[in-house]
Amino acid sequence: MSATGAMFPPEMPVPLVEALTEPFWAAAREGRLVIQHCTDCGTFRHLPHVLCSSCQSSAHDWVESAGRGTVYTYTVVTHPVHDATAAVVPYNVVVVQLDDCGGVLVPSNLVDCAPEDVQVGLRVDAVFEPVTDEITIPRFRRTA
Amino acid sequence: MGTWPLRDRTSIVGIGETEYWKAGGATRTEFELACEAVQRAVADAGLTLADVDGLSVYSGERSDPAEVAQALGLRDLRYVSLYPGGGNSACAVVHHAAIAVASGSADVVVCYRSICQGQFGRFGRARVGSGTARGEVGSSVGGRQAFTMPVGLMSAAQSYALEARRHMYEFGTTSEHFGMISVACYANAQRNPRAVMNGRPLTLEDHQRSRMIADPYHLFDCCQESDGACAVVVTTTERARDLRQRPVLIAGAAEGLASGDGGDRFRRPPELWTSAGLAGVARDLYERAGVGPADIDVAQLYENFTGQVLMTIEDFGFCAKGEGGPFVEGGAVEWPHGDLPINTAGGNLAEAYIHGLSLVNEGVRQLRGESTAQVERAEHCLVVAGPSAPPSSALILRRAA
Repeated sequence: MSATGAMFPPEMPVPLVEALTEPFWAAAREGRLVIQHCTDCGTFRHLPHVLCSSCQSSAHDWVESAGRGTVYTYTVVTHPVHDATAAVVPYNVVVVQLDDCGGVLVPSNLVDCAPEDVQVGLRVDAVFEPVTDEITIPRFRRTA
Repeated sequence: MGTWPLRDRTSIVGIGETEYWKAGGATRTEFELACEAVQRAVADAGLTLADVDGLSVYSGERSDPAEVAQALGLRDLRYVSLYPGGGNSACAVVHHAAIAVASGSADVVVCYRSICQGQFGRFGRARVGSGTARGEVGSSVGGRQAFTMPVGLMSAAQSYALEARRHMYEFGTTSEHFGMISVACYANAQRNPRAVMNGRPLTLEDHQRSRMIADPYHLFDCCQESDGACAVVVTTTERARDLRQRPVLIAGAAEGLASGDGGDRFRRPPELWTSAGLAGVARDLYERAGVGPADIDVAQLYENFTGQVLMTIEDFGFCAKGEGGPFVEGGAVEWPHGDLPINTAGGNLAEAYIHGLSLVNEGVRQLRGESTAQVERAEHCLVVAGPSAPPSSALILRRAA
């Protein structure tokens, strides 16, 4: 599923694709949310990191999430601190706890949700917003 | 673990600070302010610059110790320590100074912090890499920022708001609870002529009406942005007895981070989302000082944001986990009648934001009996550095017998 309309204007900083995170962004481009997974001890981790905090292994693969989860916490930003957000306040930032992939916490946004409707505990599904040819950002939408 | 060998063996013997300004108000350079604060603290102790042989500072300190040493003509610098981070360092720099003097690696160590947000980048603006974001199309961000800035998570207030909201969800804490912390700090600032917010009293209604920054945080939940510098002088308690001021004993000092905590807030264990991450530091600190929460007469608790102060109160055992809201609602943190008056000079919210070292200065004043919001017969002052900013640190200061 794709998002309707842009969350932020084109001046918004764009993720730099780096060696560690290339598989995450490649999957997002295909409309898939993948989470880094230690192939030695099985622990999931997000944000991506070179080492597993549980067993210190660097061996990992990327496991596809169903993209379903619950809003763990959120904020609604009213005071812009970056020129790119000045025209879009108030906007929300949510932290989604995924149902799968070890319940990792994913910082993102809720699309199609008025600021006053954001709540902890909302059920959400991943949606994918292309922001450049290279970068697609996984965001979330309230489960219908 | 046996008794902490440093208990009461080191003391703070001098404190100094410059005038404090709203960010942009300083009339001299940040470096000059750093040097002035050190000079004042050394003079307050009844020492001379020639006596100083150690410096203990924040790693983010722009007034480099070697530059300061040369400018001040320090003759025999034998010990320099940098603690990683920002406001989390406020008590750790004193801890490291105490270790240095107790071990004999140095005799007199000065901790200082200079901060002019008006001359350098303001913390309340988004920063991309080393610069301030101008919003040019095509700017890209790597590392952890690749997952936060593009979703609009761009400032400390926004990140800490996430934790505050989770605390509200789990425990029923309210914005008014956060506001009561701010009101207490502002009330104390009205008695303190140094405070930037002196002459600017704040009511709970003012707090509630103030503009939202990042829900649930209003303007008055956020620390100020200030210009200024301050410093403290540490030596052994044995030597302190011969100096000008009544020594203030470092009864205990502790630092560190919780298991699983670290630089990435998203990879922390869930329980740390509603805490200051300081429960372990609190346990070590009380054990080292040989006292408990009931012995603390007054506290200086670092406010990056009010909700994090409430979580600090819980981590240090002044109330049960999740009870921080009702605790502050009962007036416990208000001077002079509360059981735990906090931030008696106004704190980061209302005195000045010097990355928390000013809180150590105020702790010393309380135990000298020199605060403008003096707690009668104060024997022990708790000072806590930046919450939810691991590794953080804390001190228990004790009035000398």
